Amino acid sequence: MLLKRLDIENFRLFYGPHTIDFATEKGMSVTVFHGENGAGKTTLLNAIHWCLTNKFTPGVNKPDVIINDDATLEGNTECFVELWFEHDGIDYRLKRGFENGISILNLLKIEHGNTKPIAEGKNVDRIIQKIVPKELVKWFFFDGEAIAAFSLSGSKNFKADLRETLGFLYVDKLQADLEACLSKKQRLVSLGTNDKELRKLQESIDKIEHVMPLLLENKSNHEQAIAQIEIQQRENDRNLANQPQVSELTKRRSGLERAKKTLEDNKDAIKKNTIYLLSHSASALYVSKEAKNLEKTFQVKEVEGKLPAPYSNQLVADILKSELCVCGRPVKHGTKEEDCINKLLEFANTTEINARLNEVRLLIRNIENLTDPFLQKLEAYRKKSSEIDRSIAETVADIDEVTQAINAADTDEVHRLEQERNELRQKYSQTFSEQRMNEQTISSNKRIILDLRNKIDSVAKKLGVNKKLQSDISKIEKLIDYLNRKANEKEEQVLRVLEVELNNSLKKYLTKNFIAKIDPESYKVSLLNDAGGNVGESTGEGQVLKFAFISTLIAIASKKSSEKIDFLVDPTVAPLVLDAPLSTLDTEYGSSVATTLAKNVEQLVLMGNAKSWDGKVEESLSQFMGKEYLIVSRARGPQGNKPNKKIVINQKTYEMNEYEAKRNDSYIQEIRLR
Amino acid sequence: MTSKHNDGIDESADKIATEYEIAGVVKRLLQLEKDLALPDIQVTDTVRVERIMDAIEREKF
Repeated sequence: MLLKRLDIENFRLFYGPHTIDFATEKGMSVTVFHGENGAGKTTLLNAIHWCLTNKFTPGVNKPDVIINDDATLEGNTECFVELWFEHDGIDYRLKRGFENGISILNLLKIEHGNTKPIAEGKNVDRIIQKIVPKELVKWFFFDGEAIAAFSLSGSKNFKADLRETLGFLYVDKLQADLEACLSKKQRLVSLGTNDKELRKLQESIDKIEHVMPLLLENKSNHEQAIAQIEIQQRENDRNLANQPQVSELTKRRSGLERAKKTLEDNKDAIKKNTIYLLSHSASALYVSKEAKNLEKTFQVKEVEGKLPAPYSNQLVADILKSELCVCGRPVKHGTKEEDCINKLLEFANTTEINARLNEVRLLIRNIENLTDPFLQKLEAYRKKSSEIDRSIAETVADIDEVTQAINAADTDEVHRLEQERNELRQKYSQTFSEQRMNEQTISSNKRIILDLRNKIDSVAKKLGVNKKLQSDISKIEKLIDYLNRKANEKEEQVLRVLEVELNNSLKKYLTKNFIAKIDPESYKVSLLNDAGGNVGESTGEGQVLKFAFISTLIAIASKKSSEKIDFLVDPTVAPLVLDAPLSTLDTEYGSSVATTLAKNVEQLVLMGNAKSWDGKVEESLSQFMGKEYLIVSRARGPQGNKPNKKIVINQKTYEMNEYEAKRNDSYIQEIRLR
Repeated sequence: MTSKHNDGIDESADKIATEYEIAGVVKRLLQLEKDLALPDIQVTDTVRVERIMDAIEREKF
């Protein structure tokens, strides 16, 4: 998909008609939009997103508003977005209109300058799904303003999103459907017989399966509630940071909270490593302990002469001295017994015993050499974990101190926001614990069902129930087994490729030798420094990792990875549209990220504010830039004390906002390129 | 047939053949899942499971 043009009319911030032509020439396919916060950059991104999906990007402001407010006041009840694009050499016009609360979608094909309708409604969705699968839209059309909040932290939503993107959507669906098929067939087996045991087992399954939909619905509700609370928490953070009296304190607290999160993540990683190490070294540690006991036994029993064969010098000397044999018989001086015992000295051989003991000692040393690194590592983990605990405690104390300082601020708004913050935290923690309990019940129920099904299976086999049914069950079981196996293999391969490609990308973005790691269980993406320490997500490098991650996913989606992955999602080539990506980055990375993105994607649309448009970024992007626009925001009232924001482009200064306008809206002005 | 199976080679060849057949069935079922998820089709969960079950019953492996 190559974006060619965008027509919008009365869409959200944009009153009346507006047209944008995108840069399409190979090597010069970067289009840049400049605009202040609130000017309409996110609205433009969402115009494309909405046209393709009928939805806005997550967290967008006022998602219910589609028609421009002024247009609505003037009695307009419709608006539209029309996207002109090329796909596989064919030109299309995709138009989504919104009329009297109803969304209408049309797709036209352009042939020799003439347009021809090819589909409407759901049929268009089907064609669009083939061009840009809905699983990938969120990555190609990315709200970069949300990148600070976008977390590679391995949350459930992140994992689910990534699984969907990587092509596991239908595998996961088929796995669930096969389980449902198996359950249905087994139910028929139980109901088809009069066997009491079978019916009882089936009744138990039925009871659990009856409550499972509710538990799964709760699971989804909890996930949504947590995502919603997280959005509210971010909003609350932003509002607090905007309060001049506590702005600095709030930013400091946010920094401390991020640091605490990084420390907790590091602790989790150590915990996982410890469990892994223990599970792999438990047998070696046990053998080591037992070997040490064995050495002790040998020491006592053989060297000290407590074992009679081969006889040790010490044993014979002890018997003669105590005049008592180990069997209890007296060995008096001058007797036959003393004579016999004395003769034993000829056979007694301490050297042989010592040689045997040395062999055992050598074996034990070898075992210790093998187990020592495990013990040293465990000790290092324990120490590191204690250090992290101390750091967490110190950070918590710092957070409390800053919170007290914030609470001391003498403004009602701060108090209200702080109260809201506390309520949100409580709500989060309560929902989180409910979610965990619910998930534990779900997994425990699944285990019980599996167990009951196995029992049904074995009873049914004994009873010899309907052969056709048995054959169907056996087929489904084979399919489940195969799919689970292959899905695991595929997941391992895809994550490995993703990690390799991500590290290749990172080398282009970063000058430091940092390495990205993906946790195969949670999909959490971490950035590690030379010493193996976790580089926090909030650092400059942590932010760059997110861009590297997005561009890697896009490269993999378009099948540009070094290793061929048999994708279930069709290969996709689409433009990368990023809203405000550079404003969150340190200036040292702004130009390298912009240049690398421009080189690596087929078409790039960047939106940013004046702050992120410094000389370096402009210079490095100019060679790839085909189109450049300024979004000017207009306000109805007088300027008053409000500032006039400016931006310097190609050494020329532009005003970014206008006052005393006819209405509150924005317009798009093309900037002539050098 | 029995003697052939005793050498172990043909038995593993049989296993590969079965695995190959199952892979084919899974591929077709995944395509069915994709088709049933298309915007102009979209069926309910119950109907989808029934369609998958019908497809499995028709498959011989």
